[in-house]
Amino acid sequence: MKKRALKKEFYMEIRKTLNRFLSILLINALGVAFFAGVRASRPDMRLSADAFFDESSLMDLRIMGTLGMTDEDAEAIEKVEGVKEVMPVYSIDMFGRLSERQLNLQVMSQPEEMNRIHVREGRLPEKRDECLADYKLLTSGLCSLGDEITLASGTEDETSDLVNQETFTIVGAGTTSYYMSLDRGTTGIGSGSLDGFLIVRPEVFEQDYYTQICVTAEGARELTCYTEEYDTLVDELVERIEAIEKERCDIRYAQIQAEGQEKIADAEKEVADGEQKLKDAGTELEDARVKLADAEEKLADGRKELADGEAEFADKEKEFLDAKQEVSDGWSELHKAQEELVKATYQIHNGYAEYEKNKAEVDAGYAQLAPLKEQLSQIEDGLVQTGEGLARIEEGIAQTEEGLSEIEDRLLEIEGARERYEELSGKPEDQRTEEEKNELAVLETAAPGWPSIEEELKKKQTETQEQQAGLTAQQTGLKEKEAELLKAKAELAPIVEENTAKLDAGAAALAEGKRQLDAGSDEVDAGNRKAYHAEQELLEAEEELADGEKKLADGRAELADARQTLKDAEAELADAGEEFARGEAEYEEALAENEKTLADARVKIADAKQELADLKQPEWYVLDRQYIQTYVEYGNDADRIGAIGEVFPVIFFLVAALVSLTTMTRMVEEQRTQIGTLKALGYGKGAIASKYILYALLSSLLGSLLGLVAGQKILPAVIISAYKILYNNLPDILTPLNPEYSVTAAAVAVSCTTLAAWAACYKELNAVPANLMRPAAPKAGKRVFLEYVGFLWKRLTFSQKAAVRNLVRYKKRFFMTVFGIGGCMALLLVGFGLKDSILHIGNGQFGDVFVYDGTVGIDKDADEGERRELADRIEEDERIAHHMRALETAVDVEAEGAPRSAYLIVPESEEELDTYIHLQDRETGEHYELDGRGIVLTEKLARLLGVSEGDTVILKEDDTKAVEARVAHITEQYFMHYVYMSRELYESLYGQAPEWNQWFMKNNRQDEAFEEELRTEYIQYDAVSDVDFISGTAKRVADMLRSMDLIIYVLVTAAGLLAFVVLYNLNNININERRRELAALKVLGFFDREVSAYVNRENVLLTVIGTGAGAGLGILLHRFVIQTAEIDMLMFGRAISPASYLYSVLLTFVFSALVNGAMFFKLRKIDMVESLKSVE
Amino acid sequence: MAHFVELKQVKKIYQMGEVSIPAVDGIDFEIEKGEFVVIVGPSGAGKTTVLNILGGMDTCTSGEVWVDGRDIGSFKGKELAAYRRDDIGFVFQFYNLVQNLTALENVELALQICKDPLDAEQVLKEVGLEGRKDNFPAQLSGGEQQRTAIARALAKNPKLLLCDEPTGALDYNTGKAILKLLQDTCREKGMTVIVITHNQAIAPMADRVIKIKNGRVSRMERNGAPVSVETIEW
Repeated sequence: MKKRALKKEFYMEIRKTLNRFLSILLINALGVAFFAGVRASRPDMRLSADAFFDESSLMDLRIMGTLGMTDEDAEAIEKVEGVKEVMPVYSIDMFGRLSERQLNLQVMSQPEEMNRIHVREGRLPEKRDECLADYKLLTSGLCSLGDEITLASGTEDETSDLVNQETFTIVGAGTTSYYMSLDRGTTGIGSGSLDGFLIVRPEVFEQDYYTQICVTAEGARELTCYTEEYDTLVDELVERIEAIEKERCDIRYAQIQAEGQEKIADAEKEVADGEQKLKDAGTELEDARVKLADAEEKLADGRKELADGEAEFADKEKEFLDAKQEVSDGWSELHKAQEELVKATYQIHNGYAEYEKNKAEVDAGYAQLAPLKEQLSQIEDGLVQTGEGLARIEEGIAQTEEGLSEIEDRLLEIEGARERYEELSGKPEDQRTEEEKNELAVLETAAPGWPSIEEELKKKQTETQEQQAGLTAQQTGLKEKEAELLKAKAELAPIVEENTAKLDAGAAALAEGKRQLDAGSDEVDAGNRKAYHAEQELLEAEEELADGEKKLADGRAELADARQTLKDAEAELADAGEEFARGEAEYEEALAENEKTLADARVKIADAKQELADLKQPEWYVLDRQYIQTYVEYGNDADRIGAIGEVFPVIFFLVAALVSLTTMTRMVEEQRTQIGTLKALGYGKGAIASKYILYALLSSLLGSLLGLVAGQKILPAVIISAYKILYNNLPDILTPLNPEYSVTAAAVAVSCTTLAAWAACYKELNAVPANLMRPAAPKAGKRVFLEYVGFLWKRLTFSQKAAVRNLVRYKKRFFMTVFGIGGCMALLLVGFGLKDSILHIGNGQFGDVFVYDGTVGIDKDADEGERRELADRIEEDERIAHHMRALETAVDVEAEGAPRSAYLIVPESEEELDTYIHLQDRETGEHYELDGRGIVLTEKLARLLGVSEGDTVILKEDDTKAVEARVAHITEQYFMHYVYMSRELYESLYGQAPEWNQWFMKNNRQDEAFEEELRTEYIQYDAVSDVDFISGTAKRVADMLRSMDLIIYVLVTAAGLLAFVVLYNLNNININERRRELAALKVLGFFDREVSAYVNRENVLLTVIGTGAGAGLGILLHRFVIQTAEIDMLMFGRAISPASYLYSVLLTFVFSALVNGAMFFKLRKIDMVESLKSVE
Repeated sequence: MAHFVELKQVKKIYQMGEVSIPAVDGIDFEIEKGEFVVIVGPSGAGKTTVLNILGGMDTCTSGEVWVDGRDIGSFKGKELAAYRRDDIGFVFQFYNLVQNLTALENVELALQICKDPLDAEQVLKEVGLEGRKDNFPAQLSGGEQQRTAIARALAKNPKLLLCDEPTGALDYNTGKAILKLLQDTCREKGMTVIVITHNQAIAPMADRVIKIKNGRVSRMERNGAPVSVETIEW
């Protein structure tokens, strides 16, 4: 568009009619989204799986040999062209015992290069006693990390022949791409179905050959699995590997033969060894007997020795007792003596006391005498003193006389001197001689003093004369005193003398008593000393006794020891004897047994020889991924989605194209005048048309882009996540944009819309402008067919007539609306119908077919007694209303083509089976009985196998057992496959009575608590392997089918969207087209309600017709979807419930009503003035 | 009771953003029962607006519109619709027949909603379409279509017959015939008929002529001696 004005006008047009633009965009988006989205689901599912397989390097094929595979085989296979890698692995199905459960496990060696384990928790095993458990076991709560699991052989082989380690610690849990779903397939052991796998170190396996060799193909990784290219590549490789099969098998055969021979030789040698061993054991037994006799002899000696020792001890004991008596006597004597001593001491003590008393008396006597004596001695002293005094006085008188004489001498001398002096002084000097001269000088000096001296001397002479008189008086007094004293002395002296004599006699008697007492005291002391010595001696004796006693005790202990030793020896001997007896018995037994074993061994050797001779040439099975159950199932599921993708989106696409066409046509019609004007102005056809074509192109292209991105991102993700509930191991969902579908869908959508636009303007562009400027003649009214049916037409009210005419008048709108509403109805019906069908699996299966409440599995290894115990308990249990034994085992059922896994059920009583399981035709409800003529197959199994009543199928339990049976009836069944067989037929086919391994129960109650109680009680029986309730299974089924809910929601949402877009669009067009007419009606006085009723009456009619048509379409679609979407294990219900019809119709009406409701406002907005305008 | 129809200071102002555009700017007129009224005026004078308001298709911004004693100016949505359906017959310039219904059925369409309708066939007979009643609009000429439209309006037995340029899409003779039909209806049935036209020439046939100019009544006159339409030429 070079013209600016036109360009501007184009943008304005889009802005003005954004509703229309968006509705084209949206319907295109919806169509493309569904088309591309649903179609992309299949490749996306494949891609997601392929990425998972590549990531874990899932093998492309594996080779199993009937005689196992060897390292040499692996080498040979590796050399085959196109083989990228090989990995030999061990895999054995074994029982795994957890604390209280037994599981059927596929024990596999830890893979290295391929089939890598995706560790979800913990780690891979690193030691021999570690293992990695199936993550499924962990999530279903059967075990947890750190648990110990013990493996046991599930076949006749010894566990130790299979593995060299029986107990493993679970160190990790993981998943493998080999098992994408929760199903683990069947096994030949136990209940027949595997519970999970267990990964252990390769060195755990004891076998000398591998179970299988896994192979990846060169170039396969780059290809997407499930595609033709991939299948071709792998098929070619299979052929090349099969080419070397013959050669390898020959080698293997020879090897087995050689090994077998060797083994037989070994076994023979072993038999010989065994015999030798038996002989050795005999010898050993003899030796033991001799040893026993020796021991007995030794014991007798010991006994004698003990007796001697005891006698000796008795003697010693007696001696000791005597000594003890003596000491005891000594003690009593001592005590007596001591007592006497105490008494004597007491007496002496008393004696002393008396002595003291008497002595005190004597002393008192002496004391009384003492003053008298004193007086006496005083008197005598007085006498002495008086005598002395008299003497002294006489001496004094004498002295005084001497003094008087001296004074007279002196007085004479002085008289002498004075006479001289006067002499001399009277002599004249010259007559004086010298001597006279000197004498005169001295006399001259002394002469003055002579008078005083003479005075003094005269005085003194008087004094002395006085003194002399005093003394003479004293002498007289004393003489008187002396006489007095002499008189007192004479009186006192005789008294004193008498008393003193008396006292002296008493003192002497006392002294005598004291001497005697002292002697007694000494005696007592001596006695005491003696007693002390005796005591000392006794103590010593006692000490000695204690020693003796100790020695005796020692002796006694020694004796006791000796006795004990003897007793022990006796016990030992008894034990030895017993043991010997046992050994002997054992030996006898072993002898018998060994002989039997040896005999058996000999038979076995013979058998082995025979077997070896019979050994068949081995064969290889080269199995590609088509033999991996989940791989195939997943592929089928992808194909099913693909099939749905073929049909479903086409509805959307058609609707989208039709809606676009009408919308564009209407747009061109509306702009008739404008086209005319442009034409009149001289614009070329191309320029004018380009607006509409571009409008269509732009809206559809944008819609397509939106649709294909949203569709391819959301829809496959939703669908695959729904499937992930089943294929829970699938890690990532890849939803790349698929160029093929993107381009196809977008191209178809865009070209449809654009072509519609082009077609719409084509007619108008060819008209002359003048014509275009005139209003288009209104479409003429016409009589409709119905009017000719008079009786009917007359019954219609006026408005109904008008509505019918209007419908017929706008045929395009009629069909489009019917188609839109029909599509909506059909989708809803498919959605709800799918839900019905799925629900019917649960309801039909567990309501109409499996009417029992639970099963009690009987342990395969339980013995007769344990089985009996369980049977008794079940029979008397009042909670269990009905019970019946049956055999339930996994079988593969084969007709032509691939075998299918199923369960074979053989009831104990054919008549009673009906209490637990209804065998009946799904459609007619005809009831079937089991008889000896043929088996009853479940419906889906029969259909998968392609067999009908009267055909023959092969039942395989494992490779060795295969029987053929005629199909008598086909019975209703929705979940899993079953084969029912009468006891009679089983016996004739298998040549043995069925071994019951299951109890069917019908209980009085079905609540969870009751069932848990029952389970807890019964699981404790040795004979019970598991207790299962239908309620549990029903829940599992419900869980599994939840995946379908999502798809249903998608469908319902899609239906709603479809209905809304289509109806809104068409109603919009309808109202726009009839704007004038509606305005005129308003002017005529129609209320808004009546105006919309006028329009809606048509819509309601269209909705009703559309719903009817949709119901038909829906039934067809539902049937198609059911048949393509159901997985092999399930059969969906075929019928859609009335409620679903009701819901679908109601929802369709609701959608329709919603749109009409929205239109009401649009109608109200119509301006009445419109009616006054001229026709454009 | 005063007049059968009376407009007092009716205004209709369209508010376009900030600008007020008065389409009708204070109109006053009255009409008596049974009159044949012609409202004339040039294009854009506001006569159609008056008609819309009078016909209950639009509301006035202010003023009073009395019709048979009721002020419809104060009516809202549903009251207006009821007023339209019971009291008004409307004849459009472009007939506005429902294409999918026959002439008879178009008349019946209106009758569906009326309280006291006339017989459809009788009305058709009166407008002279007796023989064409089962034809679809597309099979009728313009005049026949307008007759059908008039029949549809009359069949409702309205109080007021409003005609918006009833001859606008018709040729001269047919137009005359239609006007005659309207005049006759007025005279014979005593129906109050209001015709809106830009054609001044037909004024003499009216009992009352109201001229509108620039949203106001420029002149209103009673015509004492209305002439028959046959005598008018234009």
